[in-house]
Amino acid sequence: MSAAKTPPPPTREPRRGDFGPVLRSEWTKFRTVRGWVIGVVVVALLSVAFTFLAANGTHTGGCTFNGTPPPPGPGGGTSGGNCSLGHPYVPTGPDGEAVADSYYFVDQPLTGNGTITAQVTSLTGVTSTQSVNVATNSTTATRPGLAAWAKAGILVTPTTTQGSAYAAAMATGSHGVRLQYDYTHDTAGLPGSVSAGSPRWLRLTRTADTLTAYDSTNGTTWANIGTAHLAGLPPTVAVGLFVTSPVSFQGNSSGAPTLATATFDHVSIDSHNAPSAWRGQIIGTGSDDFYPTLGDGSYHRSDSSFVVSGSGDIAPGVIQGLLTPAAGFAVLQAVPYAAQVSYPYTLANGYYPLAPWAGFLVLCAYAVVALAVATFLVRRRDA
Amino acid sequence: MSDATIEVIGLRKRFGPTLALDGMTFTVVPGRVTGFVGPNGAGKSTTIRVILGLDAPDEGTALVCGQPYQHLCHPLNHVGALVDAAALQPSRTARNHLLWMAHSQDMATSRVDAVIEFVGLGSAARRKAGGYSLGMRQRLGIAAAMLGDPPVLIMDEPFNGMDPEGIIWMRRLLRSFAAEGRAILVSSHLMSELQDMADHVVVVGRGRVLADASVDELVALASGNQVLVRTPTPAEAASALQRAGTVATVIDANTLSVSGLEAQRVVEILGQEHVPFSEVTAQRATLEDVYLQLTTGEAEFQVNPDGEARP
Repeated sequence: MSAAKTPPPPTREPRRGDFGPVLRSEWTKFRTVRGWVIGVVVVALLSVAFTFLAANGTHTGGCTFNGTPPPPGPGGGTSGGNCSLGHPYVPTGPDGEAVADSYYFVDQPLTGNGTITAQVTSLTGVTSTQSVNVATNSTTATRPGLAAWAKAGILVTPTTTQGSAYAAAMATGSHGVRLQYDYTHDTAGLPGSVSAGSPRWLRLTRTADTLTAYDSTNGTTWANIGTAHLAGLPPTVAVGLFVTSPVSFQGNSSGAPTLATATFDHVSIDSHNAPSAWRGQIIGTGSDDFYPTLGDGSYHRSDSSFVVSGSGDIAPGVIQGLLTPAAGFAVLQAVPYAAQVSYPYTLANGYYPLAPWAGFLVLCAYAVVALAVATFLVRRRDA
Repeated sequence: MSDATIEVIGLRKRFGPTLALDGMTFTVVPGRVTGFVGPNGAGKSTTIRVILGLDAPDEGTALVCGQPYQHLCHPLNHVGALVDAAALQPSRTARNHLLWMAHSQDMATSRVDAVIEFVGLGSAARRKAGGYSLGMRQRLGIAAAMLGDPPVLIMDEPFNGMDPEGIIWMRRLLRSFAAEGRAILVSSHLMSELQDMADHVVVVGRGRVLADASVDELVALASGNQVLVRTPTPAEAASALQRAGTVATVIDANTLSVSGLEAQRVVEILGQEHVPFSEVTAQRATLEDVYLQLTTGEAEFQVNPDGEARP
């Protein structure tokens, strides 16, 4: 301690200490309390573990497919695309969004223009008594129950590859007749459900790459539902009957897979082609496919009458905004939102309603707001 | 004015219905220990918090080295303060406690080790501060205040919780700081703690300065030149003194109180008159007495701006 104290050189303009020393000081403060360091490390580990579990539990994780051939068919392993074991295959739609594309298809090729017509006389369904995370893709005990978005109808697609473009006219469990195409487009037709006493006639007419859908209650008076333009539709496409039935959350909050069965009569294809044989196809119900199904489905044909059963969904992906701090979970991007899918769109079910960067920005915005409030409160009060 | 001073000018602050500071004004000059006393709630701590920029006054200013605290670029180099020794993170070691403070002002780590040795905590430096006794915390607080070797030191109740040895150490320390030319402000609610240490005392009550004077002046004021005489014949002694022109009051069977005369003069008079006496004592008031007089009858002493008290 020196004698004759004189103050240090005069001060500069009003200001706080330099940022560097203050930052160093805060770091010293933080690192010298062991409990704080341990706490932060534990929180970091928990965050990583939580993210990891959430990501694994919601069928996501780098297994998407774009352009190149898909993995081999159901049960055929995961050698295709960038998929690896433990990462179920999630198909990507025409616009690059994740989609569900699992159904049973009874089809034949169609070259050039043509029209397919079918009468749906019944649509029934069963629901698994076990939820999806208990028994996936296995025929277990069921109870009667038709999913609201069970779909049975006629479908046109360039390929049966999952995620490919399509247009379909369909009867649904409780949403009436619809025209849907390319996962994101949905137009309502006749309302009401299907029964033998109240059948639905469906028709799709192809003209080049334009598909026009009609519906009718009697097969003679037709109403136009809408038109789908599938750009770049090749000359030869697959046309036929399809049935699919999505996971139902009615009475089972974790969701139970369902199976729908439809009866088609008066199935006809009007074209310049020579008639081809019908073939039944299982689309996207393999063990590597992410969408939970109840069995593979099947078909039985007698002349122009078909009984087709199928499980899965042809589900569009639409992204909606949500502005809570949980938006940060959007970086996981496990499940997209779609009005045409009955699904509890909650975080617990792996649904993050924003694009990854948008979700991250929302989280950052919350951090900025919290910082601003803290700054205001600290400035306002006596130290 | 950038001298090593504390200037408190007309501070007013209200907490809800309570007027905590009511025109508090005083100056702490370098080279001496200034005591800052008053009953609990007189506004001592609030004044210190305002000086240190921890509270904003409604009116008035407080300057340290001629600047408001907020304008000091590296405040620890200008003013060291011990405000609440208990206010530290209990699981941080004493050395780390000083380390983050030193880092905040860009000081070298060696400075931390220097002050920790200086206050005698060298052997306990790497123990958690939560396990410190109050006396050890006070020493740690002194170390923190001395980090920047500042010309101005402010101590709020530094003797609280200290053992007698610690109190002696603290007094000696503060005196030596003053001898080095620092300005020292020490608050206390016990005047006795400041006896033999403070050179100057600012007595406050209800947010105002009641007296701002040197210790000697205050004591002289309160003493009023009283001399006590022990004598077997107080009546004779009284009449002898009255004949010499002074006022003498018989207190009891063998005690007499004389005012207005030096003790030596009293001895002379009694000797001339052949009045027997066993003891003549000049009665010196303690700071405690002054304090009690000031804080019970607040208007008794008025102090002029030069700090000279007059009855």
